[in-house]
Amino acid sequence: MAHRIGCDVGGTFTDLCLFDDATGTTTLVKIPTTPGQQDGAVIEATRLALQAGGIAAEHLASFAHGTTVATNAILERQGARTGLLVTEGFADLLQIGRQTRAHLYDQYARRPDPLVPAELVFEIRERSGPDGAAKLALDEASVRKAIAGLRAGGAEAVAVAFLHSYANPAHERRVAEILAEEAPELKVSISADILPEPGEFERASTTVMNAYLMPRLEDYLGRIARTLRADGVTAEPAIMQSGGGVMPIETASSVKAVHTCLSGPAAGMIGAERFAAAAGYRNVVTIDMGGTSFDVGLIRNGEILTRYESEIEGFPLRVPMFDIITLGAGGGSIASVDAGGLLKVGPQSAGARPGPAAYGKGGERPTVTDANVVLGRLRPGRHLGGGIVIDREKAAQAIDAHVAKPLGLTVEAAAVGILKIVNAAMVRGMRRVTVERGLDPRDFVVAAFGGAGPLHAVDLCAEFDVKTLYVPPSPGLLCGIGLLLAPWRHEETAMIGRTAANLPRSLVEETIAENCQRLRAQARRDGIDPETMLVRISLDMRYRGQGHQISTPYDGDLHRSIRAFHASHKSAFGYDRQEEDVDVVLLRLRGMAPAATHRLPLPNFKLGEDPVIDRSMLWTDGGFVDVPVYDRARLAPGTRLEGPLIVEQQDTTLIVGRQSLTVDEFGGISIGMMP
Amino acid sequence: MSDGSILAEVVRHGLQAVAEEMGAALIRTAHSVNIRDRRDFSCGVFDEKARLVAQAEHIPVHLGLLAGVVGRVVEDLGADVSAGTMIVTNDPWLTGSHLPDVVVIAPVDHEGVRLGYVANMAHQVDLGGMAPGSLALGTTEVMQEGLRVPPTVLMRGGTVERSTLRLFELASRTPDVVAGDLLAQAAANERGAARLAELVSRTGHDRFSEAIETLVAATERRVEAELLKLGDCQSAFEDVLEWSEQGRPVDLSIRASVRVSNGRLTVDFTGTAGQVAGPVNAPRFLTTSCVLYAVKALLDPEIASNDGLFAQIDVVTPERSIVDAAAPAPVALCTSITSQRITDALIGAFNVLSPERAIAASTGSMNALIMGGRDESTGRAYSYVETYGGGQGGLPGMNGADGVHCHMTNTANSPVEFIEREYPLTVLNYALVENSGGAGEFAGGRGLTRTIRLESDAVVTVHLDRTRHRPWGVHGGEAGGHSRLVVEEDGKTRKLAGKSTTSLKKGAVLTIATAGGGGWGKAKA
Repeated sequence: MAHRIGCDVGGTFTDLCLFDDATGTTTLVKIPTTPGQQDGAVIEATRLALQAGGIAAEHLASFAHGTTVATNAILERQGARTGLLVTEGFADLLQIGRQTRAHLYDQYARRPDPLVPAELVFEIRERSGPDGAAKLALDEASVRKAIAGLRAGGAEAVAVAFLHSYANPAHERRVAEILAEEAPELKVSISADILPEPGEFERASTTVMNAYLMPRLEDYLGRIARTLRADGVTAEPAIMQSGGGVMPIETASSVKAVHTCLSGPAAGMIGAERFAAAAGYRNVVTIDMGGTSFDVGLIRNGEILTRYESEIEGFPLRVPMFDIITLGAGGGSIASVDAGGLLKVGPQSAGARPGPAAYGKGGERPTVTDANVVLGRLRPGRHLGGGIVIDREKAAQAIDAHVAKPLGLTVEAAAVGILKIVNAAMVRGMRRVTVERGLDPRDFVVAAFGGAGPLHAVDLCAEFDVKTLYVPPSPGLLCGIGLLLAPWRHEETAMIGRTAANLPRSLVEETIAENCQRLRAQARRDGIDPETMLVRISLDMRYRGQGHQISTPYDGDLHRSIRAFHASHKSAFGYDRQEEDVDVVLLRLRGMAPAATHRLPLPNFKLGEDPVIDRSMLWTDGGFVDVPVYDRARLAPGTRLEGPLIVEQQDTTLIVGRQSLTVDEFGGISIGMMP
Repeated sequence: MSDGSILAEVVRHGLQAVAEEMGAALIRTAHSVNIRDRRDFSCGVFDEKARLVAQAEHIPVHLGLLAGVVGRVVEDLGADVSAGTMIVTNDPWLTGSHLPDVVVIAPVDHEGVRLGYVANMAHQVDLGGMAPGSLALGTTEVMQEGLRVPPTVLMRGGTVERSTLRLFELASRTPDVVAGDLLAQAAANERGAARLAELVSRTGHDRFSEAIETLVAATERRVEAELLKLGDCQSAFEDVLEWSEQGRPVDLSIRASVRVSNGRLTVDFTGTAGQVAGPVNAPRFLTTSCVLYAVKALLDPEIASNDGLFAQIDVVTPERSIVDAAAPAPVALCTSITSQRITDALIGAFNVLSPERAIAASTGSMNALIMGGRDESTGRAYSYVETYGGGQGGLPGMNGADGVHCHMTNTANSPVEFIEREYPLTVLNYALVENSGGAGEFAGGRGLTRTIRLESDAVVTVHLDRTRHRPWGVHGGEAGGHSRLVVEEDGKTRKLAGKSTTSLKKGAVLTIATAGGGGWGKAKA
């Protein structure tokens, strides 16, 4: 019985969903994002929504936010000036990385320069062994010398990453104390807090990223919190994490800054999962196609797949993130004929500026969007927001000059070719997500969203051999609802590093007790009642000598966990090795508190009006066919339609060929792919 | 021109997906860390004429090896591979690589029609020979390096040929791992064969064949277009590989004469040193592979890897030389050291042809360090193997990268924390080597150094080059620093030979340092 706001800031637009969970009604606001002043759009959208909904600010029960501040700070290298303290002998840690080069053949390709400049790396005399024994005491004088160097170098933040600190955090903790006493102005991240796992480069890289982002997030989130409070909002804002839970601002500005790197896409995935679940789909491949990229994710048995190893802009991060693979294929991908006479699509993109030729913003090279325009999939004259009106003539000219003429084809045949090629690349990505995990695509439903996802989805599904395509309701609802329905979530990990056969149960239990306390302490700090918290315990295991672990549930019976590990190994990799030693590498505790609400919002149907708003020529099976154009908001639940047809909504278009579609009670559309 | 070029690009994505799925299947089913984590393997898809049409690339040195392997094996067998049969071989004179690189080939048929082949090459952990890993020094014949298997039936009608599997198991120190990896190679081919058949049936056989012709021709045209840009020209360059005979240092020269004429490239290695009684010899196909790498790296990194790469290129190699060794010459280090020097010689020659694109020499070796023995604290045998990156040569407009793998390999390092957890070793230092990048307007990258203390007795083998001859610079840039291995034991410090095996006692401290890259252009004062 409350009003809630979910607000997601994207690169172009800020989407906000005000939701009344008593009635299920929503107020959606979409306004342009102001680059560099994202908090401005958040506040403006909030004020607009409260006004439109006639709600007093103090009646808001919750406010959840997905931010791209971290992502932008990384892309634009606008994070804090950051220093790094490392164990003596390892100052080049970040520069060496894993010694691999960025491209097999291109001599000029480079990994990104480290976020910490060489002059801000300081070696500290100290040493611990892999068992946690201190082999060399911490030399505090070298810490004080480093502080002087950090000050002289103008550092705003500092990361501390010592060898084997996952086994013995004492030295790092002492350094944090000294820093707090002697340089309280510096933001500090220590690797034992951020990622207590072996693998010094990835741990340092993750810790450095956290330190690098802390001051920016603190500024930005602080401004939002203060303004909201001044506006009378009493609810504490909650921030979306890359791995799908929410956390309070204070946590997001300190020890978990690095957990906001994929905040926005995570909200979209949760929204997709909730709507798909409401439609009865628990095994889903999600595809999100926008202007420059194509993201593929996976929901298996109702759970969004998470991974712990990933990278952003070439910087490895070891924090939980939804397992999304991104291809450089989008509406803006440019088509060209290469030196060998082959038609290529991408990887160059026209981006938002100049954009596709059809946008009339100066783009002259043909893009995937232009191919969609030429084939009638995006109607000429259609307004896309931001003053953009589709211009078919410009699209046709660009395709004619750069593709059709050089290949001796008609403009339409060239456009069909562009779509076929970009679809082939995307299907390859969809196969990677499923077959690399030993899964059969035919067991999945495809859920399509993003501005261009529904335009291509039917063709992709036909190539991908799935039976059903699902298109959730509007993107604003998707991200908004993802934010509103996300539970509070926090993870603690601890190193075990023992062979299962030599692992006393008491050690596991002690480690669990210790980390459970940390989990509960974090919950209390985040304003969550630990009693409402659900705790899931798992052990990361591997066969002796393997490089990768499998997370296996633990319920107090280690043997059961080992059996479960063999079974998941077999299902993921096709074999198990019952006779081989099993290493227990890590213990993971995941705490979850229930989301504020479980109710799904209803879209704002405009029922009773003729759903056909126009007729248009759509290229279907080799020629133009006159087809109806539907307004999605006017499609009542239970509607069933036969293609070919076009369904338009605020920021996306769905193309249906020789299939039929049905609308469910939440406004989701399902399309049967089999005749 | 017609919509053929569109079909070809769609089919190219389909073929690439087949190769990628083979790789995924191999990773999922393989037993060794080498295949699963270091990804020391490659998968290829071939048409019915045994031409390579797509490859999933991880290791550059495999590029040219896989490309011709199906044709060579069929020729060696004297008859085509019959449907439902898989063939295995690791004969260096067919695979072009050393014995641990094992190739498994499967034909792909549909209703009695040959559609093509799939094949993969993977580095097996141990196939016998004088030392664990089958990469021993001190050999004089390939027989000492391990098991050498001619094209042999591995699967027949979907069933494993047990005698073949046993042959590999009996020869190996790690029979379970080798058998598991071999079956994984067969599983990858099965997956690839099914997917290729699916792709052909979806596309239609005639249209599929048409698309293949277009793809191969497109690669040919792209190579030709790049070569035409060079006009008619020729050059030669000689580099040396460090060797020793009867304890005396010997330099083995590798000479590459390059001629471009009318869009064709001829590389002639006449003048290269004769083969030696040690494992630095290379089979001829490895040399060709280096030529293809140089063409892609220097002319156009985005050229699709298929049979079309060969069309405009002729390679001439003197018989019984280190770039075209005759059996029974040992070849264990051909991929880790000889391939890098052949590549340097080629780059040197191309530098003369297009001075504006000249690049300096890189670290020049995979710098392998192998340590093994018994861990005193656990009583367990261990074997640590790692290859070390070094400095990349300076480039026009860009400094060389520091501490990376260059040219023919690109495998990741072992984290210090993992080394210390798994082996009786303590790492005291891991850093870039100061001043090891050759000075220049664009400096060479720096080499890597690591200092390791032995906590148990160990046998240490090292494969280094550029210990005497530093990686050269171009256009007045200076040479990079050389590589070395230094040991401190019982208060004494000594340098070990670049290619050597030594027993060391607990407490010994060894420092490996790899060569930096050469510089580009004169350093500004």
